[in-house]
Amino acid sequence: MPKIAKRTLTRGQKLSVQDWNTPTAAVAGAINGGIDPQNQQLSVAPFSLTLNFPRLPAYAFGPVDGGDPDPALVAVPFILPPLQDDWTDTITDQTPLPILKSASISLDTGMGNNIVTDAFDSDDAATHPQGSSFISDKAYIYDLNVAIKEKDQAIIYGFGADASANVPRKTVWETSISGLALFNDTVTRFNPLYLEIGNVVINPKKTYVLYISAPQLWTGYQDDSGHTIRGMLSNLTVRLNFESPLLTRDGANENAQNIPNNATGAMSLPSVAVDTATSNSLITARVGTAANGRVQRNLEILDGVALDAMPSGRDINGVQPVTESITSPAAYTVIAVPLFGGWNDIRSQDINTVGLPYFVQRKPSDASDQWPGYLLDRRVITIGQPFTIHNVLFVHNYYGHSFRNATSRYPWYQGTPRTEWPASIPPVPPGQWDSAIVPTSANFTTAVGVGILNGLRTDAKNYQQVAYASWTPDTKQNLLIDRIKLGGSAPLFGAGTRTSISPLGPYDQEIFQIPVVPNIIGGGGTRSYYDQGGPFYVGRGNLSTYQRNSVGIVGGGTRSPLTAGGETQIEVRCLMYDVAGLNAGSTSEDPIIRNPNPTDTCYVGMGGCFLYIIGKAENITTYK
Amino acid sequence: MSNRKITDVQFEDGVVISGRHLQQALDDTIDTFNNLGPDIDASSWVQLQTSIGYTERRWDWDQKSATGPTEVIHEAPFMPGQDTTVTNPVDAIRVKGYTPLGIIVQPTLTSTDTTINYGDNCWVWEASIWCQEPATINDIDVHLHCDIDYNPATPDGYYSDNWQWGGVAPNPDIVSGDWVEDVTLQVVVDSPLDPQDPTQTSLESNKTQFSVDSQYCNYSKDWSNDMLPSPSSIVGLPGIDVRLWGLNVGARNMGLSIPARSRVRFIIVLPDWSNSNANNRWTELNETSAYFSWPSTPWRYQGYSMTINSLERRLSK
Repeated sequence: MPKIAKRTLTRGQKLSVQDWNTPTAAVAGAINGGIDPQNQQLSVAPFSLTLNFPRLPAYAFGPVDGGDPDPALVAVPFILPPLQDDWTDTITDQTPLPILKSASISLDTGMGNNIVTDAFDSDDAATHPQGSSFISDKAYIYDLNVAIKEKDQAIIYGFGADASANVPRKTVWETSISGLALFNDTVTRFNPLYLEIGNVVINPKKTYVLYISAPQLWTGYQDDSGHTIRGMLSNLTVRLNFESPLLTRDGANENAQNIPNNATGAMSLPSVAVDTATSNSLITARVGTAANGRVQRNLEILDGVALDAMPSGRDINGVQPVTESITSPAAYTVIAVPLFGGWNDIRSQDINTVGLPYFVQRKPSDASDQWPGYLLDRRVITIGQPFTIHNVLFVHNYYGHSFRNATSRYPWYQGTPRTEWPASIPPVPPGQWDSAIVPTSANFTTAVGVGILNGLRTDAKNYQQVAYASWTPDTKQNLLIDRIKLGGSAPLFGAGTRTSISPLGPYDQEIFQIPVVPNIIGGGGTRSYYDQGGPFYVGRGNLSTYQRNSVGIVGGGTRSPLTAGGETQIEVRCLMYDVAGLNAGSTSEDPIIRNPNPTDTCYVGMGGCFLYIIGKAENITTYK
Repeated sequence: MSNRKITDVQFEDGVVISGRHLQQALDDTIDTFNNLGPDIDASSWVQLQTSIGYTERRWDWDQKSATGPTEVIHEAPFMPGQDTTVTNPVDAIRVKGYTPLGIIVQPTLTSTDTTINYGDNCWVWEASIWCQEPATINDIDVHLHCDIDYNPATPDGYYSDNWQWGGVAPNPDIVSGDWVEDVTLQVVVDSPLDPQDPTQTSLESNKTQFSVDSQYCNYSKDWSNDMLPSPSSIVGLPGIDVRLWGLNVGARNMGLSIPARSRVRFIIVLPDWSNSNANNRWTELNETSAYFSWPSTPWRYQGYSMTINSLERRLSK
């Protein structure tokens, strides 16, 4: 909607009815026809990408074997792709572009100026148990380097066999944070930190990678007894703050699933009528007929529109305003869901020892060598305001470096390091012996799902699937979007994975699309990278919004949603398994190289995996 | 009736309408609808959702040992609520106003529990965010997951703590739900005037005294009947049948107004309890033990999901 033109009345000019009729009719027409973002003061919406790392040991940022110039690091790739209704093969001038504006970084340092020590990899764990904190005069231990780099997506430019094709090259933002910035002297703290970034325009068809390193964690300090004491990062939380253009609401045109069938997104425009004076009529304030223009009455009608505060979007139960003028009451939104982030990298040889919930493990009474257990993590997310899920992306992280010095192989686990790869076994190059291996077992399966549920804490619980995919190394190409190699220096580009024996190419991380139901895998997508169903509405319901449109079924078909308009939670699950056994076991084979999953096969890399739920959130008021 | 929102100009019958007043009224009106402000464009808030959490590792990385920990363990991201190893008095009390009421009110000790050591500490998991713009915190919701088995007598699930007793059977002197009563959620905002001083924080919300009977939840009837992926859907795995049970504590629809440029901290506190009864300590890996106690480091017993739902206002371009 163009701006409404003013009329300038000059002194001595004889007023005509057009001086009055034209502007008021234009205002009424704008209200009745819909008001676009260009006529709104608050014309962009914030959204955030919050990445949480519960625990990062010193080892995560230590040196690497083999003299590779790239130190170990933690990195998380992310994509902010166009939403389904804005999806095009190439970016156009109509594609909404998010803008990265700022970031905040926080650690848990207790209530004050503490450093959390890492006794697993410190030399004197007994004196400095892990998790203990102490007053620090060594703030440098928390020096942080943070960067965001950009790379072309392999799904667009091709999956190259050369590691350099998977390396993010373009730095869009980087900064170094002194540990002193987090806390200072003996009583103060400055945590979380706020960092102004400026205006970094995000290309929706590029992959971005957040790099974090804390090189001084490993350096640590020498205590009075000469022991090396190292630090760790507790609950590192990085929040990237973006701006989104305002977007139109999802509705019938997008085939939105699970959307209230009497609030399907269609706008019901108001009908504001103002008087139009006729020529030679007496202009009045309020008396007379429409032909008299009735100046005050017209103004009061428009004033009443303003007094009603022009509701738009949806309330917490998904109810749309009876009438509304705001044409773009929605905005981009992302939920970043951390998975498996509570431990170091998880490898085949850790399976019987690391001990995670849901991980059915070999017990002392189990005679089985290769226990065919599974590795599962889940997050439950509470639904607040309604929104629609357009894309679900999953980052599988395999990054796990190795390091040994004269004393031990790390991670040291306080004197019980992992099994070493014998130097005598080719073809692994020196320096890459104990790095992570990307799983290649034909039976290794990764399955990722998103569901909604209702009836929590009741006897009437129901789930409805929102998105789902599973893949093996042989089928992953059907869902793969991009691969990332994190190092910066040839020829290895980092020691995060032992790439020389990986037949699938050199990469540390992969990004997959988890199609929204009905998730019929295959083909080029017109709504996303691959085929998938329409946007999936998620929101609480009341008596007017509990009846929902049908939803897709995994593998095809539709049905009424099992949650019946009453969803209160989102659940995310990631399951990894291999019917031949995830653990390295103990067989008569070579104790190190063992099929199907060699000792250092890495199921979860350092920092964990992430799932992104990307969609469109609707504007609301604070009081609804 | 009169104009109240858009313009101060009021026209009255019988009074000559001047061009100047007409111009002003029209300008005010057109300016208003050409540039809708937040007072009129009132649905100007959007939701930001934050999901954090992790799956806790068991304390004993060599799970064949059934005799208790001999190693130093990771604690982070849970850290002691009271840290007596530091000399800075600020650090001595990390959680404001935390008083364990459930466990501490159990006064009767059996002969084996003569040196009860309850309530002298707690464990804190704290996540914090920066709010550059004014925000409204609506929901903080925490799920403590475990995979309790159908049959506690022969546990397949590695985590057999069902919270009711702090184990699969009542411990001496423990009333059902004692542990859960002392779980606490807090939302804390640093002082706008002295944000770097942890003694000046504002406790915006404190929720505690949860009832195990109302917070306890079974996320699904069984694995095969909820969503994918589920272990039951895996062909070829042995008969693993684990339920997703858990505890859900939270505060919904709070409407906490957070000023701009604030540090907001979200805190969950788990009570610490241990006594001299060997069955109440690190025996959960001993499959013959009747007790699976909520011990002195209870954070080891579950996975965690925390959701923070907040509203922030749209911005000017």
